[in-house]
Amino acid sequence: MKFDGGITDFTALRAELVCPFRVVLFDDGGARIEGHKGVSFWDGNGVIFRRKNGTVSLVGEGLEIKEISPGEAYVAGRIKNVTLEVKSRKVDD
Amino acid sequence: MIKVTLSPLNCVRKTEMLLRSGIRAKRLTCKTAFSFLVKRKYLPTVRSIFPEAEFAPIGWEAVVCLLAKWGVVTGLVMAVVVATAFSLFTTGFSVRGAELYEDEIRAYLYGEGYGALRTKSSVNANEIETSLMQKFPLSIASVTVRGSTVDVLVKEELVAGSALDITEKSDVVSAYDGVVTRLVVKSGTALVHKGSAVRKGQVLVDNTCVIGEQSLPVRADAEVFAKVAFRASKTVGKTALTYERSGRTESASWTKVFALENARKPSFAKYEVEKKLVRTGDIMPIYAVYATFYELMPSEVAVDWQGEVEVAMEELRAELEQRLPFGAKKIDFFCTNREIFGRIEVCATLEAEIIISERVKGSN
Repeated sequence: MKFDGGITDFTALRAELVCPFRVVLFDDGGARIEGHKGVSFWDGNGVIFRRKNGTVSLVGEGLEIKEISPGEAYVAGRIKNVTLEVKSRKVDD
Repeated sequence: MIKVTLSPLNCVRKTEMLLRSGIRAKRLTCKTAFSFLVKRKYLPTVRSIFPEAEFAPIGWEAVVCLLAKWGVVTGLVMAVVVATAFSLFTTGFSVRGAELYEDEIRAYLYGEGYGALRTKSSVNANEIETSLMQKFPLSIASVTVRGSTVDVLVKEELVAGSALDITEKSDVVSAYDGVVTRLVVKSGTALVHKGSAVRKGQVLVDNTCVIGEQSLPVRADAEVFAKVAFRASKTVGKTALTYERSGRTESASWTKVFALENARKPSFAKYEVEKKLVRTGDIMPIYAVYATFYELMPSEVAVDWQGEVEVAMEELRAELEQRLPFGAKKIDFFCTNREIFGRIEVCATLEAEIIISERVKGSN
């Protein structure tokens, strides 16, 4: 059984919601970000990654980008908060 | 890995540029400087994006670069270390001048440990010289340390020869027949002179020395050279014996099973035989042998005897040259041929100048 398929089955989420972007937390000591579209902000207290429909913010202390490549990044440090922002869609009445 | 260092301004924008170029970067920091690590394969791309960046190899690549940079210095240091080691130690020894006892001296020095690495301060030249003089019959032994080698120079004692008994009475006689060409008399009285024909066993130098009217017995000693002829001969036939069929024949037949056969023989002394095999058994290999015997009679035919003579001459020359004693000086070689009872006798003569004198104890 594939990992993605297993997650979709387990969480009962749609596959297209799981695959494009993923944040994996290693307790509060680090995180792996998959499917990002680049870095918007970066310092020791926070890192903001762009994604397809918004951004994801990692807030903490002593944050470092240990490795980064197109689509994948590893962040080390004490992570306190992860915020997922979604771009609002304009709805025409 | 290569460490890339840039100014700390616009770290985010620079990270974006890396990502857009598809570069995988590690350990990104943006404090006093923006730095990151990339693999060497990304180096050209990073150079093109950040021409102002500083690059520094880390890990084993840094070690390689350091060695390349400091290779000459490292080599010099190594050379100094090796030179110092060679100036402090000896690695072996050499023995010169020894003939009879070279192996024994080498074995002794190996046993004392001079064949292995040892400090120069532990090499006591005087002690080695003394022990060598005591252990071996040497006239002189000199030991010096040259470079990293213990150089041993020895001179062995000469073996005393037997004293020559000049009172022994002996004559010098001839060992060959010949004609004296020159003679060197060291002691005694010469009885022949240049041009004298001498026979084998003839006394050439007498064991007496005449001083005034007194004749004293001495040990005759002389070298007498003479022209000596060495001869050899060979006969060559002018005809050769061949066998031809006379015309008389006899026939016989017998049976042959496997290799067993009772072969018949004809009444001829010399014959040729022609056999014909006919298989008679279908299962067993049984053959009927039909033989025809042809009588052979000897007959003489002329041969190229002149060519045979030339071959014989060369063979005789080689044979005579082998008979020459050591130091002989060849003077002439010639052959004579004569016919005896239809055969050619080749007589070869090799003339050479040799020493014919030999000493025998005199009786008078």
